[in-house]
Amino acid sequence: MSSPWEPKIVAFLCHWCSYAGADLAGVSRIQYPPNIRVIRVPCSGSVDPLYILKALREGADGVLVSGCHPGDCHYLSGNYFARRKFFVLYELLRFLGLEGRVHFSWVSASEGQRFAEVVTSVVAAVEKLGPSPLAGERKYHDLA
Amino acid sequence: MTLREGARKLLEEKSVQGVLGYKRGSLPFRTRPYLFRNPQEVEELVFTPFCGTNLARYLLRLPGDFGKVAVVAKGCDSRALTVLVREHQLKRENLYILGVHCPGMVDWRKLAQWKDLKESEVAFEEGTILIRGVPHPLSSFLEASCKRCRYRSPLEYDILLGAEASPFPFEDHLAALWRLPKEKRWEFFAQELSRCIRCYACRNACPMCYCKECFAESHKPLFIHPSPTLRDNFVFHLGRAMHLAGRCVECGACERACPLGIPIATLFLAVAEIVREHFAFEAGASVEAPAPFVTYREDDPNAFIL
Amino acid sequence: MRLSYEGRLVSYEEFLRWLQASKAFATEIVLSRFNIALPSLPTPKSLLLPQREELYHFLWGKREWKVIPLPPASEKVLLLLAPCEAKAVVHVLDEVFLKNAPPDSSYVVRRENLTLLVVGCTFFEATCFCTRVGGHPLSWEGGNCFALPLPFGVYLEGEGPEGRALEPLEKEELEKLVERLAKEALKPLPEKTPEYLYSAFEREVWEEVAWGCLNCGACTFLCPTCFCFDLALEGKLRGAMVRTWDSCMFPKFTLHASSHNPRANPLQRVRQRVLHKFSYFPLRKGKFGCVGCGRCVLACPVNWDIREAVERVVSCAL
Repeated sequence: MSSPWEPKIVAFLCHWCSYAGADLAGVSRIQYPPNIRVIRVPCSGSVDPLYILKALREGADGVLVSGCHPGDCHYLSGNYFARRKFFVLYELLRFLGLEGRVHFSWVSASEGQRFAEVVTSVVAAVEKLGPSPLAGERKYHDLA
Repeated sequence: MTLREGARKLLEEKSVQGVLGYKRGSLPFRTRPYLFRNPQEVEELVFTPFCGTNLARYLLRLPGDFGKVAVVAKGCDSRALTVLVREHQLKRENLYILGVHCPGMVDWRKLAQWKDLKESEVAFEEGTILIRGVPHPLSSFLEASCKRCRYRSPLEYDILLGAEASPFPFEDHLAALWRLPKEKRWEFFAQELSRCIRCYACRNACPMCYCKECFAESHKPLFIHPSPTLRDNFVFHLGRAMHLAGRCVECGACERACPLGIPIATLFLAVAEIVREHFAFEAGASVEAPAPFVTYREDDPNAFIL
Repeated sequence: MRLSYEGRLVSYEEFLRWLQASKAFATEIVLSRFNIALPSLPTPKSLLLPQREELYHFLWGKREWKVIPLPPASEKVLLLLAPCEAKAVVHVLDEVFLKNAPPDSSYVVRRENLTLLVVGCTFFEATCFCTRVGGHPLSWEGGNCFALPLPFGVYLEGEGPEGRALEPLEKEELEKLVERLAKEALKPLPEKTPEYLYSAFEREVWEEVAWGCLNCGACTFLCPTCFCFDLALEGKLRGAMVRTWDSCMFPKFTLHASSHNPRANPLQRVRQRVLHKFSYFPLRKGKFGCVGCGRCVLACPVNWDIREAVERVVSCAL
């Protein structure tokens, strides 16, 4: 009865670049998988690693964080600071053996096509890994 | 000068209000932190290979107007003090650091297999531990974090006491974990993280965890549920690991404090290793360099980004 | 209930066969003293009051909340536990969850399904202090059966497999053990301990006593008698009401909605833990809320010792 598993991916998109890039992908009618749930943030530098962990805790199978290209940050250096935090988190998750669930990308406001490609590749990567071992624990009653 | 003499002198001269050190606990081999306030008490001051509690933790709890305090510090304690001074949690001029050479901390749990073992039946010699007269290699009794210690003697001190301790082989258990296939690694961590009962002993023993309100116990916003499921434990420990990035002094106090013996320091040591390798920073060791997360370089690692 | 010498002796093999016939668990204390291959439990509490228990599920649908009660999951279990832990179940947990009205419905089910096999202790460890709080290493009060591992077999009383009576020599051996334990036993705490402690609430000695404590919950979570719990919702439109352990050592344990916290500082929380076990509970129920198993002493990261704390405060109050 239950529908086949589809990956749920939480995407933190920076307001100035990646969110606008996603918008452009939309208005340009570029097709990409509908598995992402977008959360708009002011800057990739404002994404606390806890947000990413929290998304995984709440049942996301994967997380995508996307910001402006290095040098293009609206706040000049937010994404440089973000890159350091993300790198440590990325390596730590790799150490735990959870490689491939958390992804980072730089997508500018003019890269609608690229945004679609990034999402497609993230969805494909998470699909290959299957449901998150952290999400699988949850067994509440559903509407009968 | 021995540690006791040094401590007694400071108290007699009244140049400090107290000496923070260790004294014997109520069980064999165990020690407990103690604030020695008068010179007569100093007879009870000890420094043994079972003094793993990071004393920097206790300095944070002293009242603000306490005045100058002397603190017994191994390599890792001194690193913790340096970080706390940098983070404006302690004032350097209020500290008198009694540096001691660390012999390497022994895991008292590993001595449990000898029934009714008394302290007098254990002795330490050049790289060996003598248990009831039988020599064993010291390194198999050391804490995992001590075996990969880079700074056994304090880096920052006012006086350095005692003799340099004998060396033991450097052994990195993280490298062994990295070599496992990723499925095996996750299996290992998922099992260990599931065992956690979230008593928060690791956090409370950590000299760097001084937040007034921990994200783990915060209700608004609510990050994790108080019940210890794998996913909540995962967020707690990884969240803490990220908070400790560039701050963890690799003392292993968290792991020692864990009542279930979960090798939890592995996560924090891994983060410290990542920071050391890629951002060339060691907490409490590099005094001049800015903390890794308050700075950046344009050529920071970028290959992991899509 | 003390050892009667009227029990029976069975061989280790037979004893093990009997255990294998039922779903048996043993606590860590028992396993550390009795070499036996059984799944381990930290304390009996983890079975009777699990750290995470979903009480009901809820969900929002068709413009109304639906609540789905969950019957407690429980099966018949034989639990091997030490005399102190049996006392924790009978004197403290039962007292709180069964004898208070109304009884806790899920505790009732789990307790009914539990058979307590008390495994007597033949020696005291450095952490043991059961005799100081009114216990005994060979008592099996409230248990269903009693087993004592001896060099020549397992001595049994109560439910369990048939065996033979003790030979006079074996009986003598048993008497010697009882004598030795009596000699090694610690003196009970003064009878008026709860009153003394109660009167010492404001004493300055607490500053000294509470000093080293890190205020983590290791002691309370591993304590067989600590029963405080928290109810916390999980999920928003669909989720569960979860009962989980809580600890008086945590700053948010007593936090009021008004943001007032009556036990905001660590000293007050340490005092609460000692007084609840050694003063408030005994004054109300007539028995100590501590059974002297020593798990908290062993688990404490900084070797904070509740035995010393009680003695120190009592000596000040005298």
